[in-house]
Amino acid sequence: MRAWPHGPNAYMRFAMAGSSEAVHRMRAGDLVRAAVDGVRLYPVRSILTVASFAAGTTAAVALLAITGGARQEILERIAKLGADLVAIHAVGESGRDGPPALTLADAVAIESTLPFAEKVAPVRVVPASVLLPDEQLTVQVVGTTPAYFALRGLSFERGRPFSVEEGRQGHAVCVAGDETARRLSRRGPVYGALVKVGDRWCRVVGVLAPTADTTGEDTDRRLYVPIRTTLRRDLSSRQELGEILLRVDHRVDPERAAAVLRRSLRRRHDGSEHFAIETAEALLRQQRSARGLLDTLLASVALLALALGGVALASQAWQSVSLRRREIAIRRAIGARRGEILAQFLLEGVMLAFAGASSGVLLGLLGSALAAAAGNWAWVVPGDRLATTVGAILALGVAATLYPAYRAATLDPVAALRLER
Amino acid sequence: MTDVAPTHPSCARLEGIERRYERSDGTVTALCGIDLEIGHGEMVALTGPSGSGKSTLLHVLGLLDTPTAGRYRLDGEDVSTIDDDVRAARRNEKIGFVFQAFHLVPHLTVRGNVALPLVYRGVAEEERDERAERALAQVGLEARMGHVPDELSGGEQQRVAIARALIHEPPLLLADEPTGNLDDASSDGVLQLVHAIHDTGTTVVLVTHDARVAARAQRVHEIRHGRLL
Repeated sequence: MRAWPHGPNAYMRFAMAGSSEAVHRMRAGDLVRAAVDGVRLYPVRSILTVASFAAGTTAAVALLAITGGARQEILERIAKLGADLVAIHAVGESGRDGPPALTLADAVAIESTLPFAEKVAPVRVVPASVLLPDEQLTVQVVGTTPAYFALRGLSFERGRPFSVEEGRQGHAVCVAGDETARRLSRRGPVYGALVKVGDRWCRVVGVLAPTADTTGEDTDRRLYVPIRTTLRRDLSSRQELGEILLRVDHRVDPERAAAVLRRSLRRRHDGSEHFAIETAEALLRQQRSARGLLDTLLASVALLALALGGVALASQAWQSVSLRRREIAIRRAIGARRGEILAQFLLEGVMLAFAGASSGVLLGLLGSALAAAAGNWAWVVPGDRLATTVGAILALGVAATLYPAYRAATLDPVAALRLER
Repeated sequence: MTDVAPTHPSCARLEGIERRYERSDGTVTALCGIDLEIGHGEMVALTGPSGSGKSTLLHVLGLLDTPTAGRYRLDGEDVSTIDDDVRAARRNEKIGFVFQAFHLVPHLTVRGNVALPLVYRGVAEEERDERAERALAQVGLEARMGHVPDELSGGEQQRVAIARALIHEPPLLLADEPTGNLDDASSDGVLQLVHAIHDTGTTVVLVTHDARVAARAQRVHEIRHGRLL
């Protein structure tokens, strides 16, 4: 038999250790290793749990990216429109014989009688043809005033907007949108040239810089002329407009200004209301209500998927604790504290949740980016909301594992060891 | 049966220990009025029929079970009322367990199993491995360090359990039927190891059915119906 090398003085060692109140702690690295061992113990179940968690996370992150894109679109539209900009659109058919929905006189009245209206631009859009040597180019001719370019924030590649005087006189001048200018340039330089719009020759006094317009209006394919030019034929009759744009004094609430405008226009049109007033706030409301149902549905699906991931994780943790009762009891018998057992099983759950959440985030970002590219949406993932979502998912991981881990920590080692003989 | 009075200061001292369990069909008394003093360096055997309470007494001695009443002093410290974390720490510092069913962690290697008590003492891995290797060499299993328990025979597994019980050099070794699952040859090897450990000054308390095993102890106590005879 081999000699036991404890030496003869085990008694002394015992006596010296006897008064120790110190409670030794497991090292963090050993805790992580124990948790990794636990995760690797049942690899198939762990992989399935990660997969279910990843599916839920993918759904949540994709939802975040999709709604983030929609939100960005709304914000861009608002930025484009301007927080203090109000747009009045003619709506519905006023009929050839009926009174027009919006007229130039309305725009003039607004500018002259409503003190909060700082800048007003009437807009009248008519399709027209521009004759090129080998083709006929159809463009949208926008009759407006110089204020329009400032209100829409349009900048010039070359030249200038037509002047107030040119506008008032209805001079034969025009401003070409970027796309229109490029198509016209096949005939030679556009800036300063004369182009025949319908039956009139106009001189191009300005070319607009390209715009990244998300408002749905293709400003690049337009040709802008003084509004009087488009009204020449019915100067004395309808003077119908499609839209009036105005900037409201920044001290006035655009919503209140819109209410005043509505009353004023209704009075001018004998109580009829063939127009719609759009403000940044109204646009937001409209977008929210339109997307609300879809967002709720998507959020429900994502939450359901996440909940299923949580249930899968809880079930995995529960089974793991049940199958490892003996291991837990052994660890307890040789000195593991309850907190160390709790931490080990919680860490196992958090590791699985983290693996699921990370792969889910990657898949969600990738999938939503591909979908955005295919559907030509804006792909925006708000960092703060992503961090909150990932944090919530990890918290879900902890919550799902908490009770099984607590059961492991409070397991009676005597009963478990007796049972597992 | 040999009765030897403790010659050293008390290692474990039990006074009026009771252990009752509340069950749906009434209260079960597993231990009743146990008074027992075990001196340092003693080897004490606890015998008795199945269900007599000897394993419960061993669990109380090993701080795995808490008595319902009575007082337990381990190395002069009253451990009857200490909280669970301190109990765990005392188990780690002062007690080594050897179970009938070996109770090794199946997914850890032999070395990992032996080193496990040191993990909960915060000992660095390098030192743990070194000490585990030494302990395994002492039980003659240094060649099986990288194996998992399922790859070992019953006798080898019990020797691994003994190495684990001794790696942190506890002064009190508690063995619950250490040869109960072993054949005669393996039993002899395990008993020789237990006696060698005792010879180094370690206090040993073992529960056994086997009269031959009990006969080699310095003191034998028989338990019936939860009482020491």
